[in-house]
Amino acid sequence: MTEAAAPEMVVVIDDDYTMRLSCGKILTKMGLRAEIFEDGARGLDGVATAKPDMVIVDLKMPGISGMEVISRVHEIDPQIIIVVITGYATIDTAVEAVRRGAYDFLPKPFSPDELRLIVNRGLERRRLAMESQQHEIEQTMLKRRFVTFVSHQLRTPLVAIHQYLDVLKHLDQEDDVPRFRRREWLDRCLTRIEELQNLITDWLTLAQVEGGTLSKERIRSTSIALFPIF
Amino acid sequence: MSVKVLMIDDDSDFRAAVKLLLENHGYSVLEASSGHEGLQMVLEHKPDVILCDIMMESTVEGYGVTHSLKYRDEYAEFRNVPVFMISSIEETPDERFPMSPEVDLIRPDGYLTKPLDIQQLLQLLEKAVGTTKGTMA
Repeated sequence: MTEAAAPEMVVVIDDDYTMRLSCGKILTKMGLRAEIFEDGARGLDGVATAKPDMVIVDLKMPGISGMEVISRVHEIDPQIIIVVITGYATIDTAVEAVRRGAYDFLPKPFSPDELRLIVNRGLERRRLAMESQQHEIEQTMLKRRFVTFVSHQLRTPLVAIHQYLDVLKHLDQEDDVPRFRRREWLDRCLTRIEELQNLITDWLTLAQVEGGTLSKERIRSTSIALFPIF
Repeated sequence: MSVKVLMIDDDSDFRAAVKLLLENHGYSVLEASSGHEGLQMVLEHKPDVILCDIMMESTVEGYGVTHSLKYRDEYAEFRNVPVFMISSIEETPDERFPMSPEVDLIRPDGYLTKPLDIQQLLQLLEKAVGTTKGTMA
């Protein structure tokens, strides 16, 4: 693990005392946080409270079955990685479990190495999923900011022109705008219109760059003065 | 003495238009081109009303100004000065900072959309100045 955050958490649910205890020990030795539970009901309470990264659950347990646990865990958090422990005779059930959303299965008996391998793989998968989710959120926020920024950049000159004209019209009724000021403002309006036109040209060029329809020569000759913020 | 309006906006054309308008209606207008400059002018010139742009190319933008005015000690005497946010994009602090629990800390006294509706602006200022005088008395 490269991040400095708290170690990842794994919940083990197994009615077999030795099994859950040794799983817990192996996980702790791997530097992970582990919590063990003896049945589905307690396990699900534990999952709801601990919000683990992974759940390892025995399929065959009295009370709430492992299969049921899979669905209930994913109701709590669909991102939790679930590994099911199965007996040799129940490979079909294991396949069914995977179909229901389990990440993988561990047939009994398994070695500590096999457990470590599947846990590492599962946690890696979770990390990647979390990263890609985070990336998606960032992308959405960036797009939103970009749209806000573009519309702001385009509106700014328009607003200035509009405000000049509004004020001129308003004050004109009282003949309160000196002639030189009137002239100056009209010049400023024209300058701002030109600025807006350049801005639109630049945006279009940029859109072509992104769309890949612009030659490199054009890119070099284009003045991109669009990103005072980014 | 005429009522002092401080305009904080990074667009000098926009400021020029509104300044002449307000001066013609008897206000005296102070201009600042950034939030930082605006805050300094508050201390120096003690305006009666503040009109502040939201999105400025400045380290202290619109909501930074309201936050300082309402919560920083050196601005304590200006806490009741009405601040109106002006933007071409209608965006309340709740929309701009959807995750922030401190959104109430930057809430201004009102919002105006650019370009400003002249009658609406004049009415708002008249009302706001009346309120300020009311609290001072």
